[in-house]
Amino acid sequence: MAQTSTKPYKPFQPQQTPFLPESIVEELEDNIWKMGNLSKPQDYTDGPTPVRIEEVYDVQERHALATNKTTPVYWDLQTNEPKEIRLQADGADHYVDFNRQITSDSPKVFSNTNIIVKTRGTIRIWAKTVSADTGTLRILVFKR
Amino acid sequence: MSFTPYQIWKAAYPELKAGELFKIQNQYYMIIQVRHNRKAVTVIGSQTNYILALDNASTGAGTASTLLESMTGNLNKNRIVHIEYVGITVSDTPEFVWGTQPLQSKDVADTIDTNLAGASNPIEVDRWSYDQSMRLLVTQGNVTQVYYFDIVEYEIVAYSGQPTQPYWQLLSNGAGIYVANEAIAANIQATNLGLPGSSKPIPRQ
Repeated sequence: MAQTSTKPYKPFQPQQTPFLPESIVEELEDNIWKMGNLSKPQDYTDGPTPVRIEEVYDVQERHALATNKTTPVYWDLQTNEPKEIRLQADGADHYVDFNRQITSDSPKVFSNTNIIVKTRGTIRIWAKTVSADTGTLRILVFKR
Repeated sequence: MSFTPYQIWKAAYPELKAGELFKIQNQYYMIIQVRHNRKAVTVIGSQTNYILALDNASTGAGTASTLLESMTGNLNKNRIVHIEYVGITVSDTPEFVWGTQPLQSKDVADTIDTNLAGASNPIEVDRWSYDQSMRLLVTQGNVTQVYYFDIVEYEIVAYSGQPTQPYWQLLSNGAGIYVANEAIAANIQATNLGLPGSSKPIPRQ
């Protein structure tokens, strides 16, 4: 004779999963933004002052990369709105990367072109030039 | 005594299913497919902040970068990735970075080894990626290391409706939380109490 379960049917209850109120999200994101992932000072002293993007720019934040800047420098961009960030270089070859210090064996080289990342939050842009080269590195920030 | 605190392996994370919603910034995304992935990533030789993502510019060292695409999400390709665990088998002390900070401690570049994070005792990563810039980087010694990642990949589409259940909010630092708006929370509370006008009461055992 078949066994009959006496256990009552218990439907799937996804709402049993703990959840947070929606009102917390904005404050949470704002705190993430304030803290950043970039709060630790680096060893490099010639990095420009961190840039905090508080408004939506059409085109903004131009930074010049000085002659013979073979020691990596960086800029911190912090944004609470999704942005499209373009790096453009004039004149010389540059080594640029996001969130990663440039080392001799891991360059990302470009010249007279641009690379694009779409992001929000915090991002550190590392750059250096090859020896004796000069040029301007422009950081262009767009609203996504 | 063996140190095996990972008895809840794979049960500690929420199982999001097709039909559930993500929210990133102000946009909802509906899950249409869930793929569980266990991925072996080989990284050869001494590496510093080796990027575990498609845009790895390294050449001739380790895994071809195209094989690393599934390590990050990409909203333009309808992909969100949750890196859940990582374990290693080769004796070494690699360290991970997420964004610009060490993965395991905000202020100390802690390392793992085969005792701390062996393949049978993987360590939690628990980072969500919806953009290629949200990625892991690894620094390792002069070994051929194989990293075993446990990854869940979500195929998503933008969703224009409003949620009726709690949804999964992804934050810009790679964290994820369950969130419900006030109406959903009130309905859940009313449902659990079996109040009139609420959804069908949940049977109690």
